[in-house]
Amino acid sequence: MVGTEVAQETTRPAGRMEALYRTHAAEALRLAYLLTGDHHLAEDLVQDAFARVFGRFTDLRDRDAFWWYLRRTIVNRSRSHFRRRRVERAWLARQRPDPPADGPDLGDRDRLRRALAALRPEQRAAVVLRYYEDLSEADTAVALGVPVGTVKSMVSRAMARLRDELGEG
Amino acid sequence: MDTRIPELLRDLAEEARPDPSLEGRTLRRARRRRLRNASLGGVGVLAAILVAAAAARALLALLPERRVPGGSPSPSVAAPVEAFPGIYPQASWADLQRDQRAVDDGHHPLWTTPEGVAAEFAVAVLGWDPADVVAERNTRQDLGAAVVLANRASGPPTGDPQPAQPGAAIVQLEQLGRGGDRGIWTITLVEGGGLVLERPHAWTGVIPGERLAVVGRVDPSLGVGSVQATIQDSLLGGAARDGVADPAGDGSFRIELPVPPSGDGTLVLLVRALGPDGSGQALSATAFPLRAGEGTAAEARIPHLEPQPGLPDAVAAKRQAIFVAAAGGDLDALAALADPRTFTFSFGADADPARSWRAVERAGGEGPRDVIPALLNASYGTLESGAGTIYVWPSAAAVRDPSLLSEAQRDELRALGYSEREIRVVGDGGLSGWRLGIAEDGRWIFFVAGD
Repeated sequence: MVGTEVAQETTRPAGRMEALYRTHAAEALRLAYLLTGDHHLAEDLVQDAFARVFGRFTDLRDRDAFWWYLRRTIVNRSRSHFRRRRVERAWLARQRPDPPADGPDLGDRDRLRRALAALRPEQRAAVVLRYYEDLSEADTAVALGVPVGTVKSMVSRAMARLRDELGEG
Repeated sequence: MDTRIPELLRDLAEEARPDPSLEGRTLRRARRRRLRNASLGGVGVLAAILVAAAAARALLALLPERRVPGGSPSPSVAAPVEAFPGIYPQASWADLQRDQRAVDDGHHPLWTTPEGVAAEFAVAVLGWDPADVVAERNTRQDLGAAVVLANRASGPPTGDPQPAQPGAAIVQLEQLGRGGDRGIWTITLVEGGGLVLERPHAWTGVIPGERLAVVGRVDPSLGVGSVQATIQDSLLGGAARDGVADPAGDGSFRIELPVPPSGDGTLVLLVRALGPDGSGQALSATAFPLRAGEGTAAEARIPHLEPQPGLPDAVAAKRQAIFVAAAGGDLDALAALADPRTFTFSFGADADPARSWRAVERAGGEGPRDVIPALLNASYGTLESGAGTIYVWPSAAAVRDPSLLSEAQRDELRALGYSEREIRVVGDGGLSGWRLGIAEDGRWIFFVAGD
């Protein structure tokens, strides 16, 4: 799913950063979008994640390792985002209306969007890593920093909810 | 696995399309972070400071000696009652004191050499790659220091070695606090090669809210695609206004832009000549301070909390206490004002706000003293919660529908440093910048940003 070709291989760090960005940006944005459901927030997360990983990595030539860390950073940043937001929301008890549960039906994709938004962030991350990024349960567990058993249980419950929403149950 | 969910996930993900401008912004931020990390780790210094190209050396011989307008006559003595003459990497006397302490603790080794500061400026402000930066000090300079910057990626200058050569900028620096080997160097003026400003000049008086014309000319041989002028409270952040123009055939340009509010009586004008490739790397740049609101600088420099009618006494008292602690930089006193059971703050994993804020400031990030004084002088709004009424600054944090945001609120957000994109997503929980909340009973319950 991740592009494996860099359009123009270069040896300068700047060139490598640009090449890595161009290789992974679209995929990173798609992942962040699935995790957040918000395009602007996804862009912010991607920008932040690239800056962090570029800042930490001294060797930008290992593209596989780069994507691994970038993906993990995006997942972690999205989870901490929702964690902080939950705390703040609990205090403000904002009366923001939830997306209309019975709004116009735009099809399965729209139903999936709503169902994803209703999942807990860690459940959403587990499903996206497992079924969008196509990671094994073990790799998903490493990416989320939780035991494999927890991944199995989170994915199972989340998929049950999604299937139910999509009428696959 | 008999489910359509993976396929639907891929369909849904395709809705996300990268904004083309995201690349430039991300890479600039990444370069800054790489340089900062290298600086903190004491590595990468040699990579950033390289021996000047031969043409840059030739350029040095032609450099006139300069005195910085408004600068101190002694590079090692400066009275903190004067307007701060530096533009990077410090923007105030408080910055200088804080950063000198950090340098004394072993951080920011780049800042103890003029070449290091100039190289960092090239990366952080001009968008150059650290490996492309060529910085050489003019040793003939007897007042402060001058460093010539050149960009290897622009290719070696050819022909007559005038300051107008492509890729060259002359950076003037002074030790505004301590002198000697451990004293910080601060940039006071940057003069771009091939970029001549007719007006304004350094320390020109400007009035916030009025429009300023930036008139000049770029050398056509630079291949400039556009010229961008920015007036900002500081090169390190704060309120900013941008204007862009394509140079005419003879290289002349004129950009009109509004003057933003100033936090300390000074503003910085940065004019960057950008290439046609959209990379965001400046081919040349000029930067210098402007004096905001002639005659008002001294009083504007003293942080002042405007009274705000309508606040309950407990909220007004807590607002005042938070302001005093933040403006004075007393992070322990500030943390003690927070409600220990419920306080939410950004960022950092440390549960102790004061420790976390110190870590942010040590890393060069925005801390409470940079944010809170302006934030608490913004208008406030209210939110109803299970705990009662929450008073929030700025008032836009209480607006849930972006269409309900008033023009005054938009201006206020701009003055607080919000980008237009950030303003567009205000509402519906989307306010992403700093905001501060005090419960009606006087408990300080949040000071957060970014989520």
